[in-house]
Amino acid sequence: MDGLAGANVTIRGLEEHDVDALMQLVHDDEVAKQYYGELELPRSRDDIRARVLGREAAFSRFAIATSDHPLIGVCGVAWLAPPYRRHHTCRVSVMIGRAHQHHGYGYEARILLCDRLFAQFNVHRIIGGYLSDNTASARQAERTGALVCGTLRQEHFYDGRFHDITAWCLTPERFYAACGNDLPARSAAPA
Amino acid sequence: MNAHAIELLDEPERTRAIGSFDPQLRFALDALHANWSETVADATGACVGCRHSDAGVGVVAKVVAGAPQHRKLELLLLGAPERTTVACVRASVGWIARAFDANRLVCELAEGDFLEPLVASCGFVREAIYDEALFVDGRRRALVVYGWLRSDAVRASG
Repeated sequence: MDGLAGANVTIRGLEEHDVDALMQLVHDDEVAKQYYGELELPRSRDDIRARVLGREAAFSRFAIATSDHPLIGVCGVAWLAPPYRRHHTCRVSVMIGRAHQHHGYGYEARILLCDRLFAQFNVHRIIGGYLSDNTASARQAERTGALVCGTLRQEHFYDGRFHDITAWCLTPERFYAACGNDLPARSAAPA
Repeated sequence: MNAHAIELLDEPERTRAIGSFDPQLRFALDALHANWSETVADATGACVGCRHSDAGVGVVAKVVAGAPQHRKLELLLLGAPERTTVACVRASVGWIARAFDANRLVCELAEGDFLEPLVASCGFVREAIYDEALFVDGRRRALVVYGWLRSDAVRASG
């Protein structure tokens, strides 16, 4: 299997040749802020390479590609607290580079990943969060069926002040009710 | 888990007393990571426990993740129900907040955990509830996120 293929994007493993594009992505503060990511001090190519090719028990990172661009963004799955898979709950994150935003790639990548997790990995809940003042992220979470379940106060700091994060939770039932028609034809909601 | 934490803190060679903030309690700090230092960046692994002088460990608070620029620490709380009091929790988490100058402390508990009312009494606020996110003791339970802010504590103290 080469990756998770949707109509416009493919999710695949990160490779050595992704390092340069990834360096640009992680050093773009505006993108990191927008996606509730960590702002980085300048990092060397070796730092990024180690991160890309490193393996962690609790976290997996993937490349998001289109037919024209080998890497337009990254997404990830983080399993909840050790023992990581016992709870069948995970966090999903998606980050799209500035030049490729507003084309629906982030939404498509998110639903491909969620579909894979619910239908093939028997995930029970997907949880996540977005900056509370990011209306675009709020709309996307709502569009995927996510249910707001609280506010993490002063969770994130940048631009001289703390920012709240809105926490959300997604069930397979709500996800397939909201996004079932947007998934590739081969995908089907689990019984 | 509780037994393990208590054993850990009862190992004299891995534990060093760092003083007492309350005459009823004795504190111990276990630097689980070799490079531990008193900064938020390196706080991960720091472990603080308190115990009554004659009754063993009440609760252990361990820093499991830190985000330096956010001045936020995520805590794992382990406790023996019969010995854990509000004072134990307040002393342990308070020590961590002071030692690392944290702006925010977070602990995640399963809904119904005996520690819920104790952390609430220490100023932690129930910020988010992820329904059925945990699988504990054979059934699904909600994951509850409790958050503490330095500004709350300052307001409470007047």
